[in-house]
Amino acid sequence: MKWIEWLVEPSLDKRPNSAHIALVALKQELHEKTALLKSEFPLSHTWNWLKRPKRYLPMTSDRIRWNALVKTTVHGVISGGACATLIPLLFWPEIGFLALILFPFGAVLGILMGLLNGLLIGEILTCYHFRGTPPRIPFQLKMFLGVFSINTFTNAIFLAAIGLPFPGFIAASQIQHWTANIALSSLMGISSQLVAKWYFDEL
Amino acid sequence: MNSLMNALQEPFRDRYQIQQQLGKKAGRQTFLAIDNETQQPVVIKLLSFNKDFEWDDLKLFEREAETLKSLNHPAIPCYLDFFEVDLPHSKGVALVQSYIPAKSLEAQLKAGRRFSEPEVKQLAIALLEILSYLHSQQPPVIHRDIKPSNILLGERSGNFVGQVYLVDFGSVQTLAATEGGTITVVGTYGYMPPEQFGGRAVPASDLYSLGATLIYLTTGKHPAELPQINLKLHEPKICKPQFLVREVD
Ligand SMILES: Nc1ncnc2c1ncn2[C@@H]1O[C@H](COP(=O)(O)OP(=O)(O)OP(=O)(O)O)[C@@H](O)[C@H]1O
Repeated sequence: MKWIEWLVEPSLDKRPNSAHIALVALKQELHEKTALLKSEFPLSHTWNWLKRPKRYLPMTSDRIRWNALVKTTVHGVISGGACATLIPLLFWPEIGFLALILFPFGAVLGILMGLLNGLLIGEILTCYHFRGTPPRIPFQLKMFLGVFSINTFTNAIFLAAIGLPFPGFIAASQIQHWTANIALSSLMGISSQLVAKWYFDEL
Repeated sequence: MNSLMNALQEPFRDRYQIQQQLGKKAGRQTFLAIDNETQQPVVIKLLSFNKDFEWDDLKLFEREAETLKSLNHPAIPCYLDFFEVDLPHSKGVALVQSYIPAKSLEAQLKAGRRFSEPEVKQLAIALLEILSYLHSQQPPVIHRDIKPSNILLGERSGNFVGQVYLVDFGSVQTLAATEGGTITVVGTYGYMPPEQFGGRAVPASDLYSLGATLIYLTTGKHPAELPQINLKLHEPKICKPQFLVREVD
């Protein structure tokens, strides 16, 4: 039984981190055998990665870092692109669909934000994950951690990205500056909720 | 030790009448007794302060009492009493806990019982639930000596493998205990994860011992006999001779 070998991994890094995780994995293994027979309707490839069932693989620090990078980068690309499209629309509604041209620029910026943020989150997570006993972090704190880290990161980088090449842009209008910031934050809010939820699952 | 057995003919504290010896180790013995007040069977563990006595033994013994006192779970014996005793050649301390009417996995295996895969999974789930409970204590309780002789299994009925119990909290480490002061290395060879040799047990260490136990149940071989586990146990970095390693069995 593969599952037992997981328990006797000599390296703490590769062993399940808690009895609870091992329990969920074992129950899932039992469940999957019967679930496979029922065979749910096949999902297309693109949706598969979004909808695939939660798997509890042995958590290694590499896997955590990789997960963090991939997830935050995807969030970064989507929200960066969306911001680059929506914010100009906010100021110059007349440009209309032309704003979509800006999407790739935002997306590239988003990759950068996502990568940086992923590195940070990966470090935080590995730090908590392998400290022997994971501390019981209250839900609110986890939420805060998730929202805060992604919000500050994206805000700082995005504002720097706009502010450095176009110093006049931010200085020109306090109101525009704040609207931009709020629009940005609320967009980031949605994606940060997702990241925060992921923090919650993983920690 | 005959004088000890004679001394035990008299009930402890006029209350606990010894029936039978369950286990014996240097300076430490486990008895089945009857509590005259409740007429219930109890388990009495006795630690004597004889010439082999080590302070670590008392530390662990008291920790077992404290741990049982703080826990409340149907699969774990209940703390009943703790007192000092006068033995023929020394003093000692006794811990009384509830008796669980079930045989250990070790005894059942020795008697020829074999476990099917579904049964092993049932056992695994039950034990993981107990471990989950222990590890969720504040601070987490790490048993450190999970092995077939410390797991008791009640009567089988139909597809149900039987009620599972975990005993012998005489090796527990609470995480608080590792933060300051000395480290005591305890555990049983073959069931001990590498990190425990260095005195650093974490909750996942119990998972390793559980895994080794389950492998023993499925293969019938002692973990130390299994090549893959042996290999893992002999990693050189884990040996720290300056620690006291109590190798049981
Ligand atoms: N509360 C209990 N109820 C029923 N049986 C018990 C109880 N506690 C221990 N036993 C049984 O008594 C035996 C001896 O118990 P003890 O905890 O003293 O073991 P030990 O002397 O430390 O040896 P080891 O743990 O290495 O087997 C155990 O193997 C167990 O089967």
